[in-house]
Order: sequence, then structure tokens, then C-alpha cells
Amino acid sequence: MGTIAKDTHHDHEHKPTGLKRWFFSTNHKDIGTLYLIFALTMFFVGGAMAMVIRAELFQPGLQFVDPQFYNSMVTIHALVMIFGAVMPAGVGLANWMIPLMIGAPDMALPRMNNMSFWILPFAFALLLSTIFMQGGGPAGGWTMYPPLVLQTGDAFPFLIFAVHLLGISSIMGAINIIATVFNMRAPEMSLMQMPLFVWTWVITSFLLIASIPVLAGAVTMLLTDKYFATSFFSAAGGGDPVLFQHIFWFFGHPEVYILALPAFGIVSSIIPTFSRKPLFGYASMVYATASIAILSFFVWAHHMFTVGLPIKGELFFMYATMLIAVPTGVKVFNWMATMWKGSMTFETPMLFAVGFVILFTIGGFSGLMLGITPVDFQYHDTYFVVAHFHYVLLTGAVFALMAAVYYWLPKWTGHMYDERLGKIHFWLSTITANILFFPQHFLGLAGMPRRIPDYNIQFADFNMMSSIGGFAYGVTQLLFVYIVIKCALGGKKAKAVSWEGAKGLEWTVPSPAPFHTFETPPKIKKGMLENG
Amino acid sequence: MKSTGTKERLSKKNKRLAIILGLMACSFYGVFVLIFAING
Repeated sequence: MGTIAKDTHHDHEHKPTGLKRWFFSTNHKDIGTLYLIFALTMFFVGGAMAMVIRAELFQPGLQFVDPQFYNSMVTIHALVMIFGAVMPAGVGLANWMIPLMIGAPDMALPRMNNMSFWILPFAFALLLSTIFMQGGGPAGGWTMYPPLVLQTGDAFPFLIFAVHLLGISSIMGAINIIATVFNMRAPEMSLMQMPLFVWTWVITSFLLIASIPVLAGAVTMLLTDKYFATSFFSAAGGGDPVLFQHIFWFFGHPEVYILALPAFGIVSSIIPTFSRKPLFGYASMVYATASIAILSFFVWAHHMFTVGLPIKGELFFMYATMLIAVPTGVKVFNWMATMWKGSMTFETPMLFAVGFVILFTIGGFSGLMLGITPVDFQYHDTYFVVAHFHYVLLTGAVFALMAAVYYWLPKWTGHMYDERLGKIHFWLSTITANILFFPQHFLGLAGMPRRIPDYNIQFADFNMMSSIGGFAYGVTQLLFVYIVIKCALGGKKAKAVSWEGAKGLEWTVPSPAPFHTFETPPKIKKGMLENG
Repeated sequence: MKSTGTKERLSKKNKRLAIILGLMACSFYGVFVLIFAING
């Protein structure tokens, strides 16, 4: 122990009060909390849009909204969930936990950290305000393909500016994480001793720095095509709309791993704790994460097999995509090997982590199917794709984020959450998410296209089933909010080591974690970091 | 508690790394748009 700041010159529980504390905060824990609250809010905003989508698709025919509004719901739901919910939730966890895990007193650039967060509400105010504008919100899909997206009305420049702001926020967050890990780590902690969660965030940060500027470049070119008479993507002016797809997916595929890698890190922290065994194959996990990140830059065209690529190109991207299954397989194998012969218990974080491993793998397998060029010609732009990426992002990334919240909530609040309600939340989420998304595989295989408000009567049963699952999943998440608020307000006192098998520096500080921690670099004791 | 000198050195080191990474990001953006602008 002796790792928390013991400084007689400072009152370590001294913190600003009122709104000032939150608006001007440079404390990594407060900014982490802001990110997490923002992400949860956006999860419900995006979720409300999903409810509109599922209500419209409950039956064939147009029921509640016109097709234009439906398409803008599809578009904004995706943008909100990706950039407003999953990414900020991951950054929130990184803010809270990375300094605690590596023994740093705070993030390396605390004021930039504040700015990274406070850009987000403005960016989303811009984006969400488009729904009320002349011509409606952006409705060309989150991929913003031209020429369709260029038909957007007044909302267009707001969309582009919002995307730029989100990019700036993400890049600043990434820079901060890299600087924190490389410069602020406890002197006794080598890179290969860092928890896997920290490793996955370092690698994710490099992905962000390399890929987000590409998206920014692409949307700037869209902007100039619409307002400044350029023809980057306009065939009439000698440009090529397919060029946008290449550029977008050069960003878009690494983006998938920006969402997934932190989830891998979370699960790699939780499974050893509840298996009471060190993580199996720590080094191979680090190398697998790095391999996935590198390979993610060489597979972008598997999203666009049907645009008419040369056959050699299609083969290259198909085989490169298959290759990603190898390091991903290493990870799944290592998680299973960690659990093998462990003294496993199934508290809520572990349930969500095991749920992640199983359901993310289902999403991974359907991804492999989509990566096979001739097969993709049948599945492309069908509900099979929708089912695939929701298994990866909802039962994958979101389940891991839920696992992380349950796992670290005692450290954040100083209270244990209601375990019985947590388990109910897990089982209801798992059952309803599968009712929601599994039938969509069948819809896609039968040929139902994505992004349509109406459909043939042959798709009615599976759509009704999917909608019922969707409403039930939405209601279930209210239980999550109740559990979190209940835990924040009170409950059984949490110990510093809140879980029996938990190891790592974050568990050496009291629960709740004091406002300032690790002003003196901690001593690393033998076995303290062995969980990985 | 770290001494003021150490803190300042660390702060400089952090800022230097942040500037390098920021320039990297800007150059990805700039070079990228420039290439297409020249091609166009």
C-alpha cells in the first residue's frame, strides 16, 4: 500500500464545488464521470431513435413516420451510438481507470482533457438540431456516401462541422492517453507489465490519430464538393463517387476496432479476476491487439465488394479480412484458457464478460461470412449486415462497457451495486438483445434490404419478433440506470479490493477513489500486476 | 510529491509529445486532402 497521496501540504479531498467543478474540471475522475454520463445520455437518445425504427418496422406498410424521417433516424441513430455513446463511454473509462492502473496522478494534459470532453455536447447539439431543420436531418446513412448525402438540405454543413468537432475531440483524447501512458507511468512499471486495458487503449489511440484525420479529409472534400464547386466525388466533373467509399472505409474499418479494442481490454481485466487466475498468454494478447490494429488498415474494401473492384483486389481484401480472424481467435482462445480450471464465480461483470465472449464471437463469425467476396454479393446491404454489426457493437462493445461499469462501480462510488438486480439486468439484456438481432440474420438471408421503412409481407413475422425484442431491450436498460443511481446514492460499503480475485494498482486505493491519487509514484509489489 | 523542477520537466515532455502527435494527425489530414486536391 502506501500508494495514495499522503501529502501533508494538501488537503486531498479538497475539490471545487458546484457547476465550476464540472465545467472547469481538470481532474481525470471528474472528466471520466462526465464522459460516462454523457455516453449514457446519448445511449438513450440513440436508443429512442432505434425505438422509432423498430416501431415503424413492427408491421409492413408505413405506420408512424415518413420515409425521409425514417432514414434520418437510421442515420443519426448510428452517428449518436458510435460517436456519442460507445466512443465517449470508452474514453470515460480510460479517463477514470488508466491513471489509476498505471499509478499516475492524473492525465498528462488535464486542460486539454477538459476541452476534449466539452466539445462533445456542442457537437451533438449541432448534429441533433438538424432533425428540426428545413429538409430534415441527414438521411443518407452514417457512411455519408455521395451523391446521396449531397441531397441533404440545411443540415449538411451542420453534419460536416459536427463530424469535424467529434474528430478533434477524439484526437485530443487519444493524444492525452498516449502521453499519459508513455510519460506518467509509475517508474517501476514496464510497458509489458501494463494491464491489458491500458494496452488496448494505447493501440486504440494510435488508430484514432491515424484514421480520424482521414474521415475529416473525406468530409471536408464533401463540403467543398457541395459548396465550393469541386468535383472530388462528382462523376459529372471528372471525379469518382467510389473514391469517397475507399476513403471513408479506410477510416471506417479501423473505427470498428476503435470501438472493439477497448472492449477486449475490459474483458481481459474482468475474466482473470472472476476466474482467480492470471490472464493466459499476456504477451500474445498484446501482440494480437497490435496485429488486429495494423491489419485493420488493409481490409477496408471488404465493405465495398459490390462496387465492381478488380478481381485481384477483391481476392486481396478477402484474404486480408480472413487474416484478422487469426489474432482475434488468439484472444478468444486466451480468454477461454484463462477461465479453464479457474475458480470461477459469476457476478454481474463476469456474466457480461462471458456474454461478450460468446455473442461477440457470433458477430465475428457473421463478419467472416461477409468477408467472403462471392458470399457478400448475396448479403451486401441486407439485414444480415445489420445483425452482424449489432452483435459486434451491442452484444460486443456495449456488453463490455456494461461489464466495466459493474466491475469498477464500487471503486467509483464506494458502494456495491445490487447484485440481484445486476443479474436480472444481464439476463434480460441477453435474452432481449438476441430476440432483437438474431431474427435479422434470417431476414437478411431472405433478402430484406437495410435502410427501408416498409417491406414485403414475407418479412413480417421476424420483423415483429425483432421489434418486440427491441422494445424489451430498451425498457431493460432503464433498470441499468436505476441500479447505477441506487449504487451511487448508497448501499453496502465497498472495500478497497472490491472483488476477491482483483489485482492491480487501481485496487490499492480506497473505495471510492480519493479525488487525488498517486501523487507519489506507487511501489509495485510482486504479484500485484499478475492478472494482466 | 514531485519537486517543481521534475513537474515542469514532465509537463514539457508531455507537451512535446502532444505537439508531435498533433502534427502527425494534422499532416495525415493535410497530406491526404492535398493529394486529392492536386490529383483533382
